[in-house]
Amino acid sequence: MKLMRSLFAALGKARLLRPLKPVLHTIEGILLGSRETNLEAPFIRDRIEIKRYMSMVILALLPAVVAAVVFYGWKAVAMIAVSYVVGGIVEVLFALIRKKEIEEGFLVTGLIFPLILPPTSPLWMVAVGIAFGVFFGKEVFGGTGRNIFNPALVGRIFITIAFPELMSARWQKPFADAVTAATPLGLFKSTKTLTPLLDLLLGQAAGSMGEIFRIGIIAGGLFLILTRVANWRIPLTYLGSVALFSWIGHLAAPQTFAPPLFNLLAGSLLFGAFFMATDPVSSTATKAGKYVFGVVCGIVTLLIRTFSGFNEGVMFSILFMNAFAPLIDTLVLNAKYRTAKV
Amino acid sequence: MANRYGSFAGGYRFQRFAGQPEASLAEAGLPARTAVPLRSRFGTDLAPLVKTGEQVKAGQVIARDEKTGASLLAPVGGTIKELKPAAWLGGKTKVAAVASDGSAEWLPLSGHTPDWKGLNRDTLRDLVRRAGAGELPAEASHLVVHGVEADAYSPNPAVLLEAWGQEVFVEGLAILARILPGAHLHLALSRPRRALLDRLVTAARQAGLDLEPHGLSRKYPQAHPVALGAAIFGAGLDKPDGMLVLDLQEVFHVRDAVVLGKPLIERVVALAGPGFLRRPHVRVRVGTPVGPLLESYLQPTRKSRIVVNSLLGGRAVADPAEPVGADASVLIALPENAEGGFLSFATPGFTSDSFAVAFAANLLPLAKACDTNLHGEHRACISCGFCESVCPVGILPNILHRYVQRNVIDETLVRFRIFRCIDCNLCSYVCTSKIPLARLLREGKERLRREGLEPRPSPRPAPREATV
Repeated sequence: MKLMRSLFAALGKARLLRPLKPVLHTIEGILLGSRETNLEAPFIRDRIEIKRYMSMVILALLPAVVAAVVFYGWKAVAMIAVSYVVGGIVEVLFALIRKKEIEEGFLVTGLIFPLILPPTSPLWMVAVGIAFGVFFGKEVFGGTGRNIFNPALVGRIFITIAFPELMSARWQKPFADAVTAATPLGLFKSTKTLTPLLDLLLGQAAGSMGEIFRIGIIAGGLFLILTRVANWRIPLTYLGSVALFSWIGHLAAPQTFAPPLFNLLAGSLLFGAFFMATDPVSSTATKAGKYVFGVVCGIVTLLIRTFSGFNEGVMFSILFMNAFAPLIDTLVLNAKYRTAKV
Repeated sequence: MANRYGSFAGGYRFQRFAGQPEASLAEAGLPARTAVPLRSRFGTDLAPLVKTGEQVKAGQVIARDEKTGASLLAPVGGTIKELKPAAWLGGKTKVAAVASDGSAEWLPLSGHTPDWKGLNRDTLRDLVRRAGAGELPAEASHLVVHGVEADAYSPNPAVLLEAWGQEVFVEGLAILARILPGAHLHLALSRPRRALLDRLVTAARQAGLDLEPHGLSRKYPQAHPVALGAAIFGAGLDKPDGMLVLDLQEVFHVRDAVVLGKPLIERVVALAGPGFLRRPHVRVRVGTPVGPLLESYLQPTRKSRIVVNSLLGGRAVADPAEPVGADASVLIALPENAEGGFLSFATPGFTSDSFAVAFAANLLPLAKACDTNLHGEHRACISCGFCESVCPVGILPNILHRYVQRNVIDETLVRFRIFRCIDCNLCSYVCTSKIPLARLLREGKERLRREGLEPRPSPRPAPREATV
């Protein structure tokens, strides 16, 4: 410990390394922890910190990551590696220019991004997407905590729009070499075929790399909620509103609306509801706002899935609601503090 | 805000902190020298009535504020050795150093009597005031006596009761009932003390006192008057007008003043925290310097910071010469940690306390460690919502602190109920990004006050501060 402290102290003094100070400081923080003490009350502090917080999200994502690697082998590993390296470079460059510390939120963004891509995505596209997402989704706003949109989704929507044919027509089932063209949602839209629910749960259907092993996603999501890192309100209301409205829709128009269980399990809904809509920074901050956020996300998702040209609407609905989150919070606060009584 | 009786919304339970005070009582004995800061409980400086070299008796008035009549008593009999400012008090307020003559005697208050039933209310109230045991109001609708253990470390009410005796408690209560005839009497202990609570209530009822028992949650800050009001009356945050809160020891002081004529020159102080080898409750003269008092109890090899009364809301002892105050109830030895730890964020956390269920100690019944370290790095707010979840008064520190940080100090803050904040500091405790939320809220309140934007005094009374 002492030796490492003095090593870092020496490195910090080295003239040549001065521009790299934020990087050094970050590495020191990760390895050796904080040296600051509490000089005023409260004299003790909760042991949670951003590093631990983000580590919990990564732990919760592990089932989906392992499944992706099992299903798609080296390709999955390569995509995650590219995402981390390229996203990391953008993050570090920004930290160096702004002379601020490297922010831990990137570790989650860099892992979520490859998981929401089709397994057939070329590696250069992973690089372009994560670079765009980190840069325009986060850094230009001032870094983690100040971004309006979920950075991984910003990257995803950019490449969806920039390279539509690569992003919508090239899906691949796990363990199959053939590149098919249809996800379960696509199949329902074109042929009204319902993929068996068990296949959806176990990941035996085409989809984005990390969204298909749904048992693992549910487990990871519940883990996040139990640790209190993800607030339960958004996943509950998001999934609840999808279930409720697709049930009503399916009763009214069974050919247009897929049944509720299928809607819940198909596509990236579970992954989005547990891991992206719950991003505390870009979602609503107030409790009541979280309910609104979840419910409207569900309605928008269902509308896009059912009536638009796109098969899936999770990504759009979350980004759409990210844009409205500050407004929802303001309305909630105004309603909550309407009375003059203080 | 929905409130269940017996608790309040929000709050946080500090469970299983290592180094709880032991259920034993030790006598610290007479200190060779005591220090009395010549400052009232409102922070005003008092003029000394004695000179250096003068002989004083324990309980003799050595300083008085002419305007308020507040007075300070010599805690031991002996000689005034010094009357000069001390660095640990900011270097301006004078401190009287009283060297003990070795006698444990004290000067009884004039007019005290075991037969106090013959005295009228005002005489009794005056006795309490002259004993330095506090200024009781003329009227109170409710008197809440509490021995709630809601901090990481709290004194053990069973030990306090043993130190004075159950009959002393009942007699003190009877005196208070006499001084405040209109007040309903309540006794609040933490729920695990149910048996003790029943015993005390039975004893009080036998003495003809209608004492209402309340077994309350151990959530912090349950001992705060607002949280006590919410838990006892279930009336949200608007506790009843004229609610007076006293802790157990204050009741004992009232009785000792009236029956024995004993001034408040002694406190029972619990020792707690991982920095101590032994942690008894100690009966100690007020004014005893903390350093010499704790020397034999502290772990010799570990550097600790001494915190008075609460890790969440107390203050740190800056100098070993600082005395035990008349309001001290716990002294906590909190180990210093300015070193961090290797990969500390990634450890399983067998001893880590956290609101987030992200450590092994959240799941296993293990004792939790604590130290002075910040345990993390300052980051921007990520809106994790932990502060909102634990806030006992239902405000939103995550929203409010942004206004203060951006220098937007206006009516919006008032509208968002910043003045409901009771400075419990829980928001700073749980913050994932280590933002000093409570300090920012205090800063916001102060600046609003300076700009004259504090709302008119609400119907809620500002009760006498409960001794923490």
